[in-house]
Amino acid sequence: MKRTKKDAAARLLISLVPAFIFTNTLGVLLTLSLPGSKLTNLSYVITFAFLFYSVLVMWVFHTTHLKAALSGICIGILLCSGASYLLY
Amino acid sequence: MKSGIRDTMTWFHTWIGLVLCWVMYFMFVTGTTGYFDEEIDQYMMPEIAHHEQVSLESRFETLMNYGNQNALGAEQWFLTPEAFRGGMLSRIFYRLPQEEDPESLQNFNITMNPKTGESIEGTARETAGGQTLYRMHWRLHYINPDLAYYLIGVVTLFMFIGVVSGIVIHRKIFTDFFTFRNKSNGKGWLDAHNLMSVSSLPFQLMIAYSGLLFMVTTFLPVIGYASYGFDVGKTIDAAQSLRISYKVEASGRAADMLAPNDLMTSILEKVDRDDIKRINVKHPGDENAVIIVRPMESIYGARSAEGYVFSAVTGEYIETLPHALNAAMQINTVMLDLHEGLFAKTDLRWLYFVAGILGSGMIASGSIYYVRKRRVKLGPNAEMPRNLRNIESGNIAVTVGLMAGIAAFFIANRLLPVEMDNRADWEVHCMFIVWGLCFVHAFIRTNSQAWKEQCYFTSLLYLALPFINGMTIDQHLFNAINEGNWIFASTDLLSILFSLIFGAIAFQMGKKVTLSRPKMRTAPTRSAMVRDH
Repeated sequence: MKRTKKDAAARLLISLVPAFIFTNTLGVLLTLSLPGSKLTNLSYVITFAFLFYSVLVMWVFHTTHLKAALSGICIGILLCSGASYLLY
Repeated sequence: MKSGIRDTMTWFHTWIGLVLCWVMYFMFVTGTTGYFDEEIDQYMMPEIAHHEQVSLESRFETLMNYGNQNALGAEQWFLTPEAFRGGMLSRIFYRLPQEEDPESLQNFNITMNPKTGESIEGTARETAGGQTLYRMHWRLHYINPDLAYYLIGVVTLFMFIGVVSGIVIHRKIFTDFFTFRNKSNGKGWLDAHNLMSVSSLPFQLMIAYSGLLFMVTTFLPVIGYASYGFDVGKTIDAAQSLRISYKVEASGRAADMLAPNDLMTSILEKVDRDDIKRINVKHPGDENAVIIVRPMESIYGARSAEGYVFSAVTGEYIETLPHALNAAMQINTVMLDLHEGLFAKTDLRWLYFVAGILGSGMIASGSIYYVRKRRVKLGPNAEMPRNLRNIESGNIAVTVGLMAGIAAFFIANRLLPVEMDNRADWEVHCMFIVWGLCFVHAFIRTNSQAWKEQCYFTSLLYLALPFINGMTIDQHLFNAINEGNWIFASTDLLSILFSLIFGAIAFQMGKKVTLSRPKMRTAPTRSAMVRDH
């Protein structure tokens, strides 16, 4: 398969910035919302956060519709941040 | 056009491999030496009779006596009965307030001869040792350690994804594993890559993911910080609570601690002597002084081991600290312990070493296959594009040149004057100078010449090491075997083995050059030689 350098650079950028922020915001949401103490939730989140992030990066490099993926990640960031704010 | 997951992952695997393989190879090779870091430390300090045996009781007594005489004001002591695995030396670490500024603490890290209780400072030569070599796998060298840490974090992430994507793209993983095509079309390199990847796959997955777990607080601090309302104090408290520790306050009343031999008797009632690697004494000389022993056994290392707590005043057993806070932290800490392998005895350490070499080979064969595949595609008469040639030159300098640099590091330890200023730094400089020269060489010679010459050069360096060792110190190979000094003997033997491997590769490459020479009627041009080999 062929991909342009621009396309590859865009995917790399999305992986390193929005996908990274999404991992963090989702992590905060899960720490605050999962049943169990905050400390217990935090321990689970930090242990498995990189697993989620890795899968997310793979998906960013796999998906055909890059703009839709970026929009999805941005909406995810907003929703997770908003929900975390309300939960805290 | 919509692509399947295997297509995109193949593309992804190829490109992250190409872009990051040289850094990953450096991390793997230097990290692999870390499984024998303390053995390398001993090899690089030949003035010490490391192979002499001292009992655990004597070591503990010497360390406790040293602490009692020099460090009673410290909040805690960290005792390492065997400072270098299997070796004679012992170590104590503590902090004391500085005389000029009592607010700040000064570190004391004393490595001593347990027979005499005297520090070895001034006895052994100054050396970078195995610690510097192994720390390079996450701190690199010559660049800011923080920058290196972030860089290594990103590389580790992509390495983990590279391993996972490698699994995705191999639909027939077992068929691939048992396939080897030793033909000139370059497929042999792919098969070698598959063979080395699959045979050490659990290790690769573990090492990459646990590498990420080391960096979780650096890369994902926001999760903890935001969850605790951006309160630094609460976040630090939470981070500390994630690790099991024994909390005890000093009473402020002085009390004599029990004699070391009696304390050790109490400890040995609960803990196997072979599993005692580190001992922590909290509030020494206080009525509430305790001793915490974390036995490293099975898969439990410094982070996930249970902690046995004893009163240092009465020797009484107090309690056992659990492995971890919960299942998640147990996974977390066991992964970190698996990465470090501190619990591993010699046989398991060799297995780690072999897995590390397979990992290095996996990266090297992948990068070589990238070039070979494209060269075959070009056809026999086409000229090799400049960028492809540069990639191959880089591959040569990194895969072979780094090994030459490491050999130079060991040789420098034996040849640099013992009294030299900044001797430890110069050992490392020698490594990078040789490696740098290998880069220059790889780019000024044709690729086939560079492969052959660098392999011969590396072979020569590894062959020279046991001889230089024999000429500069009395612990030459036969002497070391005779005295049962297996660290020195196995380092020399391993060096000879590496020499034979690189020599055999160089010889094979030389044969190929000789066989293909008659086809050339005129003096070969640079591009023609690259094409032919």
